[in-house]
Amino acid sequence: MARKQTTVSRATKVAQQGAAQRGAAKSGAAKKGAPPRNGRLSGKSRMRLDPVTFEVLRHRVWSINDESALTLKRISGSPVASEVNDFNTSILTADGQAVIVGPYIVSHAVGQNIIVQNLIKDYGENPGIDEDDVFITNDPFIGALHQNDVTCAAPIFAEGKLLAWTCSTIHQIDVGGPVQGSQGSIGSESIFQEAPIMTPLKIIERGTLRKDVEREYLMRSRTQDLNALDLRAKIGAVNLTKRRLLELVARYGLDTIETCLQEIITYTATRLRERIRELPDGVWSHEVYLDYYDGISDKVYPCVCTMTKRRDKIIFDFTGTAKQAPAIINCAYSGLLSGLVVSMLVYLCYDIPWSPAGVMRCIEVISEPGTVFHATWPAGVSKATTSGSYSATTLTCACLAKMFAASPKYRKLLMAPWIASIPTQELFGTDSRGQPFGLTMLDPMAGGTGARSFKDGIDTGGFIRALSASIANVETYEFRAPILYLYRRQEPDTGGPGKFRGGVGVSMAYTVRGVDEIPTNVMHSMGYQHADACGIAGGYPATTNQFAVMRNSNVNELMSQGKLPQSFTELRGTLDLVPPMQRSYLKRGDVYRCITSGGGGYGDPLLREPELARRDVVHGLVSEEKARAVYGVILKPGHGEVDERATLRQRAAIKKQRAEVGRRP
Amino acid sequence: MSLILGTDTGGTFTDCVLINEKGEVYFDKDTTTPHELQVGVLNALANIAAVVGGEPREVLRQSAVFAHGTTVGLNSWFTRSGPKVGLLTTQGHEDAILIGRVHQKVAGLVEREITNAVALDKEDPIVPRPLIRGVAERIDAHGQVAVPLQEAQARRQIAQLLEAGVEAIAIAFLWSFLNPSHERRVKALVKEMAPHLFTSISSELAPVINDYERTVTTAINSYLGPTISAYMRHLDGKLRESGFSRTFVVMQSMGGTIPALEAENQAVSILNSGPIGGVLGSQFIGKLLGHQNIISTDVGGTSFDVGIIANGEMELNRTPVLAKYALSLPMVDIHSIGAGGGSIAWIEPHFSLLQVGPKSAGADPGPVCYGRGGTQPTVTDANLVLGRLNADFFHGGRLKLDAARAEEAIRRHVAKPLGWDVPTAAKGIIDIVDAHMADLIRKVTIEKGHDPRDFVLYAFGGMGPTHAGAYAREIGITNVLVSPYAPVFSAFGIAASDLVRFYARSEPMLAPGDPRRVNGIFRELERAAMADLRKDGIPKGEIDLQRSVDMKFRFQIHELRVPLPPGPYRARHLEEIASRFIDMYEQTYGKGTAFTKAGIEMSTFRVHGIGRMTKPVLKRQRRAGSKATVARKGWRAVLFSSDEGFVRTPIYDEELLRPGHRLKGPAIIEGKATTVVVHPWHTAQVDGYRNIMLEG
Repeated sequence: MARKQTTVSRATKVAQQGAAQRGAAKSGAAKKGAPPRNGRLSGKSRMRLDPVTFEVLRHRVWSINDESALTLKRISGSPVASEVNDFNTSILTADGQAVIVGPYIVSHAVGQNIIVQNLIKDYGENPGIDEDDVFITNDPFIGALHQNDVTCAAPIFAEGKLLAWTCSTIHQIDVGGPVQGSQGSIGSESIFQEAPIMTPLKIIERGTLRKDVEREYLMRSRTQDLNALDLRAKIGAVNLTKRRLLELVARYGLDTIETCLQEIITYTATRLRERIRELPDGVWSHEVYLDYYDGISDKVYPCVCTMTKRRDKIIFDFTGTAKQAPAIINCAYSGLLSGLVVSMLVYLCYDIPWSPAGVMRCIEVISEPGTVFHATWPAGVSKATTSGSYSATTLTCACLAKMFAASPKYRKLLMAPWIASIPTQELFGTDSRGQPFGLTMLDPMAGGTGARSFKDGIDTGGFIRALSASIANVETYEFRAPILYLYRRQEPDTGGPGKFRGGVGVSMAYTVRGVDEIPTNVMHSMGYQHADACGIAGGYPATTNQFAVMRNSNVNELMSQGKLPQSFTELRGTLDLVPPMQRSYLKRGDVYRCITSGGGGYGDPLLREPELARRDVVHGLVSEEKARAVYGVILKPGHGEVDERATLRQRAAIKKQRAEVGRRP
Repeated sequence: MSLILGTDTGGTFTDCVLINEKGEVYFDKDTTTPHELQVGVLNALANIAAVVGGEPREVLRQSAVFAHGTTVGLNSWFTRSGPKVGLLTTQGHEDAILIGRVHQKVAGLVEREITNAVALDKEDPIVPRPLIRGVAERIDAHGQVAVPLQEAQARRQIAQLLEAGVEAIAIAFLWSFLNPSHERRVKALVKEMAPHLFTSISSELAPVINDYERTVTTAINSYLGPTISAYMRHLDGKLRESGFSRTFVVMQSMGGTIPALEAENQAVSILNSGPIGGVLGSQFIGKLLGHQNIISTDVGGTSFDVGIIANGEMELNRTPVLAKYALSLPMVDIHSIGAGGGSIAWIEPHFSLLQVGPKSAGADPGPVCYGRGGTQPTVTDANLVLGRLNADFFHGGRLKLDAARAEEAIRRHVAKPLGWDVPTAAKGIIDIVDAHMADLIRKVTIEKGHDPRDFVLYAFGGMGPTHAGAYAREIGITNVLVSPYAPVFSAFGIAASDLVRFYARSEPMLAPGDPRRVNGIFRELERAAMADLRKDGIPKGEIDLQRSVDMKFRFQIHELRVPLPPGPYRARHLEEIASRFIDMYEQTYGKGTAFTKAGIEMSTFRVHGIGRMTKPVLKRQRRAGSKATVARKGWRAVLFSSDEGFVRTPIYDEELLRPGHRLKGPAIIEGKATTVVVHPWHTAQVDGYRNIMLEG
C-alpha cells in the first residue's frame, strides 16, 4: 500500500508546487507493488483470522462506524447533515487506508484516506501525531474535496501503538470567502479569492480542545454558531469510534483488530478483482462538460475518460480533459479519485462490502495535473463536489455502464447515469423575527436515477454519490427561512426517454414571505447548458438543470384571491433567466424556480410498452406531447387507453423520419 | 368478576394469558388463523378455559378486561388488502409522499441492501397519484392563512375522488398542526358529501411538524382504518355474544391500551400492537423486581426484537419506518433483525465464510429437525446437535425432533465445505447468530447513550432463554432474567397494561419561553386528556397526567424529550427545565458536546394521560432450600465451548424448580415451551416469583 501513498503524495506535491506541466503524471498507477495477480485465490487460504471471528468483527467495525455517523447526525445543527445527510465518517488503518465508509456521502471517505496519508507523511515528526490528538482541515490539496468539507481526523492509539485512524466530515454551510455559502465564488480568479483554506491543525491536542485553533476556524464563517455545533458533532463522532475500537482491542487483542482491519480491505479487493475478471476486456470512453461563468460570460470545459479493462484491473485515463478553470469548478486529485471510486462502489460492489481502500487496489488512474479534474495550485475548487468531482462520477458511471452492456452476465445490472449534477442554492438574510439565517437549499438532490435494463429509474430517486441522501421537509425550510413554497413536485419529461426511462427530477418554486427581501440568493449548477445524464443502449439523455426567477410578480395578489400559482404562465412579472452561476437576491413578489434533470434512459423509447407510457401520462411523469413525439404512443381521449393503431402508425412514422435523417450527408 | 384476559395474535401462535383475582397467571396457545384472526383468538380462549377448568362463556362473563394485541393492521398492510384511499393535500404538494424525501428508497434498510443500488426502489404508493388531489389553501409557517380555503374547489376535488370510488379519505395540509381550521373544514365537507366515508386528518392524528411524515401517517391511517374498524367490531360482537360485557381494549404501538372500538380512528397507532406487549411485560416484571434498566429481547422463529426500558420508561422511536414509509407517530422503539431459531446457515462462496440468516426456514418447512421437509441447516438444528435442545421434549414433547437429520444437514452444508467437524460447525452457527443479536443490542443501547452493562436483560419468546446467556455475555451484561411466562410474554404484557392516551402540540419557541404561553398549552392538553379518560370510565383517582417537551439546541433537528413536573410554571421553573435539558444532552452525547451559545428550542409539548387498570398481583412464594437436585431429571452431553467439547450436563425440569433453588452452570433447564441454557459462567437462581435469574 506504500504505492498508493507515494503516488497520491506525488500528485499533491505537483499540485502544491504549481508545476502544471502537461505530460500524463501517472497517479495511482500500479507499477510497483502491484496487487497479487494470483487469479484463483481461494480466500480461505489467505485469511489470517478464522471465518467466525472475521465475520463477527467486520460486522462490529461497520456497526461502530454507523453509530459514529448517527452520533454526528444527532448533534449536528445543520439540516445539511441532520436532514440531508451530507456528511460521512470512516475508519482507516494505521497507514491511512479507508477500511469502511458509511452510506452517506461516499466520496468523503476517499478524501479522508488522502488526508490521513498526508498527515502521516508530513506531520509525523513535527508537530507529531500523538494520542488523543484530533486534526482539523479543509485543504483540497491534501484531500478535502472542497473548502466546505471540513474534516476532523483522529489517530487511535492502543497500548502505545498507532492502531487506526477515524475521520468525520460535514459539508459546512459557510466557511467564509467572498460569497455566502462559500461554494459559488463567482468571479474568483484563483483560490485566493475563494473561501480560505485551513491546512491541518490540531483542534484537540492530547485531549484538550484548543481555543485558539477553534477561534481561528470559526471566525472566517458567516455561520459561526452552526459550525461550532457541527465541530462538536464531528469530535463526538471520532471520540465514539475511538472508544469503541479500544473496547474491541481490550476484548480481542490488538493484533486481532489490526489484522481484521487489513483483511476487510483484502476481502473487498479480492472479491472485486474476481468480478472485474468476469467482465469483458476492452476500452470504453465518454465525455461530459463542465459549465463555467465568471460573472460576464460563460464557457464550457470538456472532460474525457478512456476506461480500459484488462484482466482484473480497470485503468481510468482522463487524458484530454480541459485545462483547469481559474476557480470554482475544478477538483483537485482528491475529487477525481473519490468521484470514480463512488462509481466503482455503486456499479461493481453491490454485494461486496464497501471498502474504499479495497477498491483503490483494483484501479489505476491516469490524469494530467493542471486540468479541471486534477487542479493545481492556485486554481480554485470551491464547488468541486457538485462540479469536477461529480462529473468524474458521471463520466466513469457511463463508461462502466457501457462495459456492463458488453457483458451477457452483467448486462442486466447496468444503470444509465443518474442526475449528473445538483443545482445548488444558498440563501442568506434576516428572518421576520430579526434572526440571521443561512441555508444551503438542497431540494435538487431529488433528481432522477438512471434507467435500468429491466425497469425505469427511480422518480425523484436522488443522486448516486449518496445513496442515503434525503431532502428536508418543506416545513423545515419554511421554518428556517422566510420563504413560502408554491409547489415541490415531480417534474414531467425530465427523465431520459427509453424503453425504460430515467427517473424524473424534481422542481420547486417559492416566494419571499414575511420579509421585504432575502439579500443573498446564490445559484450554481452544472449540467445547465447540456444534458449530462446520458442514455445507454439507445436510451435518450435526461434534460438539463434550470434556474429562473420571476421578478416583481403578482404572486401575493393571486394568493390573497385564493390562487396558488402552479407555473410561471399563471404569473405576471419579468422573467429573469439565470446563467449557470449567479449571485443574486429575492425581493417580495419574486418567485424562484428550479427544475432538475432526471436520470438517463435505457433502450430505444419506441420499444417502450405503450401501456407504460400511458401510465406515465396519467401519473404526470411524461406529458402527452412527449408520449406522442418521443415514445410514439397515442392515447385515446381521457387517457384511459392506448390507441393501438394510431401508435403503430406514429412509431412507423418516427422510424421513417430517423432513416431520413440518417441518409442526410 | 375480575379476571383479566390478555391475548396476542402472533405469526404462528395466538397466545392467551389469564390472571385471576388471586393474581395467579395461566397461559396457553392455539394456532393463529391468518384469514380470520378472531377464530384463533376464540380457540385460545377455549383452551385457557379448559386449563382453569371452566367454560369459555363463564370465563368471559367473569372477565373485567379483555386486552388484545393484534397484527391485523400489519397483515392488511403487507398484503395490501386495504381499501382504495384518496388523499387531499395542499395544492402544489401532491407529490410529497411520492418524492418521499428521496430517502424513502433506503428507509429501514440495512447496509447490504442500501449498497445494492440497482435493486433500490421506493415503496408502492399508498395512494396512487391520480387519487391525490391538491386543495387551494395555504397556512404559512406562523400559522397565518396565506391562501384562504377555496371551498368550491375543495368540493370539486372531493367529488372527483368519490366518483373514482375511494372508500376512505386522508387530509393532510401544510402547517395544519399550527392552524387546523382548513383541515377541519374540509373534513366537514367530506362528511357532508359522503357521511359514512372513513376520514382521517393530520392535525388530529399527528399534530407535529414534518409534512412528509405527517401525510404518510394520515394516509396509512385511512388505509388501515376501515379494516381495523371491521375487525374490532366483529371481535367485539363475538365477545359480547359469548358472555363478555366489560372493557375490551387493544394495545397501541406507543404502549398502553385504548378502547378497541376507538382504534379505528387511530388505526395506525395499533400497527405494532403485538411485539410491544413483550416490552410492557418486561416493564411490569421490572417494577415488581426493582429493575429500572431493562433490555427486553424476544427471540422467535424468524426475528429478534429488542426494546429498551431506561429509568423505568420505555424508549420511544419518534419516526418509525413501516415498509419504507416514515411515520410521525412515536412508537415504542423495537428493533428487529432476521435472526431466530429458523435462521438458515450458509456458506458465502468467495471466501468460504459462514453466514447465518437473514433468510429463515420459518414455520413451514421449519428447521431440518422438524422433519417437515426442511433441508437447510438452521440455528435450531445447531442447538439440537450441540445437545442444547432435547429431541424428545421440544415444546414439552409436543414436537419430536430428528437429530440425525439435523446433523446430516450441518455436515453437508457447513462442516464439509469448511473442512470442520459437525460440532465445530454447529458451534460456529450459534456464535454468529449470537454475535448478530449482540450487535443489535449494542446498537440499540449504545446509540442512545446507554451502557448495556447498566441493564438487566430479559429473555423471552420460544428461543430467547436458549440464546440469551451467550449474547448477554458478549456485551458485558451480567444478569439475565427468564420469566415463567417467557413463552407468552407479549400476551402477559398486554394483560398487565394501563390505558394510555397521548396528546401533543407543536409550538416551537425559544427556551426558557413565556410561562403564560407554556401553561396555556399544557392546560389545554390536560383538559382534553382528563375529559377523554373520564369518558373511558376511569375514576379521577386512577388518572395520571404526565408532561414532557421536546427540546434541542437551536439549529438542531434531533430532539430530546425532557420529562416535566406538573405545573403551573413560573419563569424560574422554565429556566430549570432548560438546564435539565443540557444535563440530559451531555449524558447522551458526552461532556463538552453541548453548545449552549446556540440557544435552546422547545418544540412539541406533550401530555400522556394514563388510566390505571386492574393489575395482576403476582404472588411471591416462599423459598425452599437452595439445592435444586429435586428438579434434576437427568444428564446429557452438551457442548458449550469448542475447547472443552461435549461435557456431561445436568438437565432440570423447570416445573419442578422452586423459589430459592440455585444451580451452577453448565446446566439445561427444560420448560413446557422453552429451554434455558445455563452456560458454565452462569449461575441460575430461582426467585420468589419463579423467575430464573442467570448471574455471572
